[in-house]
Amino acid sequence: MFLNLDKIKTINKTYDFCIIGSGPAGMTTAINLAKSGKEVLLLEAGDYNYTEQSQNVYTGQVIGDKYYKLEQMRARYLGGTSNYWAGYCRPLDARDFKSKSKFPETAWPIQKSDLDPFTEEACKILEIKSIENDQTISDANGINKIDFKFSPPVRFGLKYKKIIEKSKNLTTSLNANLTEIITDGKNVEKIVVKDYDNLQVEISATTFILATGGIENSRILLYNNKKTNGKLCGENTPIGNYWMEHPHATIGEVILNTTQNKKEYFSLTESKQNQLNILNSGLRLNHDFKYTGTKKTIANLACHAPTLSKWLFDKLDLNLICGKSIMSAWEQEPVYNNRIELSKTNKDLFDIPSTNLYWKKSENDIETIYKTSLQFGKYLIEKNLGRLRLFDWVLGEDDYPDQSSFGGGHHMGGTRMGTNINSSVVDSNCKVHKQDNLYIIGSSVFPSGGHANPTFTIVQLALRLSKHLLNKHTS
Amino acid sequence: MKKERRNFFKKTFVLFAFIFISGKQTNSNIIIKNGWILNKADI
Repeated sequence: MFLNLDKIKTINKTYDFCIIGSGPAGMTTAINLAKSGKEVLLLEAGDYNYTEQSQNVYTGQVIGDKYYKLEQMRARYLGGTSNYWAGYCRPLDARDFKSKSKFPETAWPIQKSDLDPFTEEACKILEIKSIENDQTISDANGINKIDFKFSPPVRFGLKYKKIIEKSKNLTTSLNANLTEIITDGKNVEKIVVKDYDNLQVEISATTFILATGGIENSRILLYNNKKTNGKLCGENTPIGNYWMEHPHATIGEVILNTTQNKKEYFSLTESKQNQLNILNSGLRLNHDFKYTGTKKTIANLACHAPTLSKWLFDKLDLNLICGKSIMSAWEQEPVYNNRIELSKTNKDLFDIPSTNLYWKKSENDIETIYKTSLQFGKYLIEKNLGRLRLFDWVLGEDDYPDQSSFGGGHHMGGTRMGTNINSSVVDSNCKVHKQDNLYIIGSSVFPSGGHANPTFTIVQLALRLSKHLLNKHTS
Repeated sequence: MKKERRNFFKKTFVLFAFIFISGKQTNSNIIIKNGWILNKADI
């Protein structure tokens, strides 16, 4: 059922679970916990649909590399950022969870095999067919042909609205903004929530789950940890640190001895990544001519007669490309200084400091994409499939391009998972180290991000958390 | 005995030299020109 905040105040009961945030992480957790018959309260800061008032709470400042405005690329209403996403689905690779000799901080405290049992259910939720294994197509150059599945895409608010309306034990309250977390140092006793008319309600629950997204999870913890003098998370806990994106860019163009129009995806094998000492990245071969009119016709023709067209282009000094553009989305190394901080000057509607995001790509990030694309170029030669031309910035001969696409809107890290309170915020079960009943769910817990879009892993993690919480409550 | 040892080292040296040169040849077949990743035979 949906209930306004004033009704929640009147009822004044202790819920089994209170989940803050209704995006893929929060909604998946809420729906699964409610299936067991537990009393679940789901709080969403926005309304059924977009409102400027709610969205403006996301306003913040970016310091470092060019990036999107923080009120863009995420949505603050029922269903969260699933209202915007494109539907790319792929689980993380086994290597993504491991420590690497050059990048020890990429290690997760869990393995891929810990999330695999939730793959089938995640596929059902995201309405995709089963996940297919990667195919190694070149041992010599370590090239995998990989697969993405495409969700319709599922909008979590639309998908579950009717289920919530009919549910008796899953209560959802909209326009409910978390403003304070009250803890005795070991347990969260209650949280304070406000609506846009300044109605304030205290909410009690046995367990609280924060699922407000890859930036807000950090901002809320930073604010409340400061307010409680470190009683919530600890004094030296790296809240907001190790924030990551998947930088996206077109890295070059390809002439292929093929006319097939299908989009294709590639990555390097685990052993090749280890051998080259790099991180993960995905290459996306797009059949998208940037030309129009006559130029497009000539470029199209060139695909069918590459030798003739090369001669023709040289004569005419046209420099047209027959073929495809190649794009990449790649893993960023987890860097302590890529971080979310509380603004010292700006506050949101609820008097909570706004976000300052410090974000920069590192040399290792660029090296990853250079070495990966070089392998792909060698693979094209090895199999005589075509030739790849890399842009100057990939070769280190020019600055990073000034383009409109800075990343995938994939906000990861900030409340990373780990075993040590001084280097992570939550444990392997997503529980805040210092609290017995506060959990964080979403891509903010990722210690590293691989190259796959994060939603699939978020849903797997949410299903795993639900199972853990139900086991804990039963025992 | 000395002769046998000398032959062993000689063979080992030739083997390593062969592996080294082969590797070099493979790598040197690839060149980057104006951004193009090319085989030497391409130009």
